[in-house]
Amino acid sequence: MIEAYGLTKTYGKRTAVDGVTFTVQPGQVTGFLGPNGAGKSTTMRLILGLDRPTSGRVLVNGRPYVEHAAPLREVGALLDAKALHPARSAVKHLSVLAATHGISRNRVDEVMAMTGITEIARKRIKGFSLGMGQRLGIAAALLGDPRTVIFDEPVNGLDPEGVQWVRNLSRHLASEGRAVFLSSHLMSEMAQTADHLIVIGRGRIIADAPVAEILAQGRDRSLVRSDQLDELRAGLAAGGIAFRELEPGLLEVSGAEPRKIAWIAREHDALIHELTPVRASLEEAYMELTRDEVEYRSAALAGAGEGTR
Amino acid sequence: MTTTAPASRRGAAAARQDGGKGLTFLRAVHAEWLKLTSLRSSYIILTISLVCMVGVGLLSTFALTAMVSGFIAIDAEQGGAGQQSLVDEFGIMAREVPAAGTVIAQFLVASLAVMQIGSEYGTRMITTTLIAVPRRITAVLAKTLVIAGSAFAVGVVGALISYAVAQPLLEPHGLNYPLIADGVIRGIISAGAYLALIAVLGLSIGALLRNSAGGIVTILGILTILPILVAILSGLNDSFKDLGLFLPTSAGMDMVAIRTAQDHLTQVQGGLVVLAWAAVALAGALVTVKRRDA
Repeated sequence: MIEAYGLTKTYGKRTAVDGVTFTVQPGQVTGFLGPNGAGKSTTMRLILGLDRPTSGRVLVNGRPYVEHAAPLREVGALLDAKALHPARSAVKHLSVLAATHGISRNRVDEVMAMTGITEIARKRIKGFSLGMGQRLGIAAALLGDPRTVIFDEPVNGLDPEGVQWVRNLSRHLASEGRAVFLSSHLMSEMAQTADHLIVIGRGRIIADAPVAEILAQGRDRSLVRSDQLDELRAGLAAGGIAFRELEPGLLEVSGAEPRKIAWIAREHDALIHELTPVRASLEEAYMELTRDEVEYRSAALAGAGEGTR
Repeated sequence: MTTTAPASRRGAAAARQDGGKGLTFLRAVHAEWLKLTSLRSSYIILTISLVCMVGVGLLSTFALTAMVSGFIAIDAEQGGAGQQSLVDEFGIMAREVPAAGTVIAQFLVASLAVMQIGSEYGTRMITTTLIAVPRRITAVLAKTLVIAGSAFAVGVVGALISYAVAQPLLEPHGLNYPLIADGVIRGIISAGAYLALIAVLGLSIGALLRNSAGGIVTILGILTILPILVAILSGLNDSFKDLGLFLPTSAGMDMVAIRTAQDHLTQVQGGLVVLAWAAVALAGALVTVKRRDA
């Protein structure tokens, strides 16, 4: 369990994390979602005491991380899969970490088997692929059999099988009653893994709710094709229903269910030959939420065309 | 997979029994020891340091025996009156053979010590280290203890081997001496202690600069360039001459010496000066690492 209260971190003039308050509950996977540079990694570093908060505080399993007698038993963290000495072998790397807590050699073998790196245990880390490095990082995080697990962008660099594996592992760890806190900038990934989402943008929490609830917040829309667009437009406008024309003959109508749209069309003598309800995807809900919070946005393509191109 | 939540939680509790016994200073030291011994580069540098200790010991033995033959020949031509005092003088020099190698070994030990923490910052391993050992004072002190202990071992073992290989070479000149001869054991232990303190200085500088290359340049600068600078300055003003005595290299020479020059520090004073350098640097490193973001 992680509890953050008004956590703030500034680097010089830049505020990386701006008064965030949230709780990561045990027994479920909490997704920590936000665009690059939104403050996800900084928040995780603050949780682990790697960086000192400018103000506010954060507790892990009831205490600041540093104050635990057996930190690795409390939190298993994968922050940076490359944060290791490349000349050491995987098994030595894990043995070093195990030694700090008197964790047995058996457990080292166990986590290597769990993460599928037993075969490359004696190889130098230098030659590892990104995916293997990620697995080693996860093995290290699981060493102390921690009550809380923190993974920063765990699927980065993994192949589809690896992504699936991280997903199942996260779900499994949560089902064992652990608090699992995963960050990602990919909503689609989180939609399949997380129970709960904390969305962060420019250092502030934008949303903190169960995945289902965030999905529900997305606008439901319908795509409508009609031969009598003018009539249909007039009818929708009269009913105070928002719409926009995506292309000639195709309207995107929001805020009205298909039945209502069909009735309006009928009343205004407009023939509809397509009426497609569009469920908001988590991805869209996310884009909606973070629209104003993206730090580096790509310029609109139309605008870019004005220049030299 | 039909287990209910409470049941699976019990399962987790059972599995949690192998989560280790908790973080202690000794376990942190053990981990640092594994770190040192799991890298080939550590072995290479420590072995070369040992070879340097013995090699320099051998060289100074050869130099001494050559000198002895020369002087005794001259003395014999002049009637042999000064022979006894010469043998006394050479006897002291012979007893300084075991610790002679520290002059070179210090550079290697200092560099290894810098790398011990500098490379962790370079590879970002420091993040992983501080997640496992979030008590930073513990983390840095564990590292310090391991590198200082290794340096001490290299110094003492190297000096002992130097002592052993020098005896047969000194014997023909009647300059051989037992281990328990005046000041010999103290000199051997001082050689280890000097290298240990230089290692502490190196590690502290590595921690302060968070960079291997910068740290090595800095420590080598302190050990080699500062004495040259002070020597040049003391040509301008006599007060710099005293300042030179308090540099780690000069104080270290006095620390391991069998007999120190009259205008130099005594062995104990030399040791205290080197200790002060190491202690101040370590204190600075501890405070900085504790306060700074990792």
